[in-house]
Amino acid sequence: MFKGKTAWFSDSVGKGVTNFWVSEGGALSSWKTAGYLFSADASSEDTERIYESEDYVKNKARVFHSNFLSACKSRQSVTSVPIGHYVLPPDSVQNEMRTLIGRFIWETDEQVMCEDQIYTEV
Amino acid sequence: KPPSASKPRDLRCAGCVKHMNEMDSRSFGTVLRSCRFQCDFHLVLREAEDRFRRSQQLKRTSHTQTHTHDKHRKSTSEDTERSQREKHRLSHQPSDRCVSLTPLRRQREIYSVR
Ligand SMILES: [Zn+2]
Repeated sequence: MFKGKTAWFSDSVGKGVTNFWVSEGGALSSWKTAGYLFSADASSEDTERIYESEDYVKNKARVFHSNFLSACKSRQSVTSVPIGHYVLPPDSVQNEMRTLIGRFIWETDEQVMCEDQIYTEV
Repeated sequence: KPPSASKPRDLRCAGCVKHMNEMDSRSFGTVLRSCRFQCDFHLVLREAEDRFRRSQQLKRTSHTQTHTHDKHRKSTSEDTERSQREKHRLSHQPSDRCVSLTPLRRQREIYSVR
């Protein structure tokens, strides 16, 4: 499922999620080089370090919530889960957004699907 | 009952439909920026993140200034060889150049009353 992809996991992410990534062919890497950055807590120390990094300020690093991988697992697919909804911004950004748009997808049980999935299912 | 099919299609943008093979932690920013239309979620995300980045940059500027202050103070008492070089560089003391961390522009940007 994750062959050829590299990821970094925050300490806040449960071991089960990391194991799932590896068991599906994903590789582990440092946060500087990984293609995907996963965290379960924006306020954890290692994740805040990313928000303060040059890469983040230059718009070259985004953190995704590790629930994204749980969604992939439950659907047995990576192409039906829109990764752009599982973005995990810094706490202050989250708070600002919650007052305007409500809860994040990774806080709810709601299932969003990518466009192609909607076409095939309707 | 179907959760997402009931949502109007025009409320979705590239950030909403791309999957993992099309976008990663590195390309997300570029994808969002190159997208002509943005849904409410991704527009709000982008604006809030831009504000966060600006405040990060301000913080960084003020950090380096405090750092040079400390260095200068220390170098007068210790590390003589280094203090000579430092003194040259710090001939102008940035003492009254403080950076405010308060995002003064924020109100105007959100409501943009004219
Ligand atoms: Zn969107």
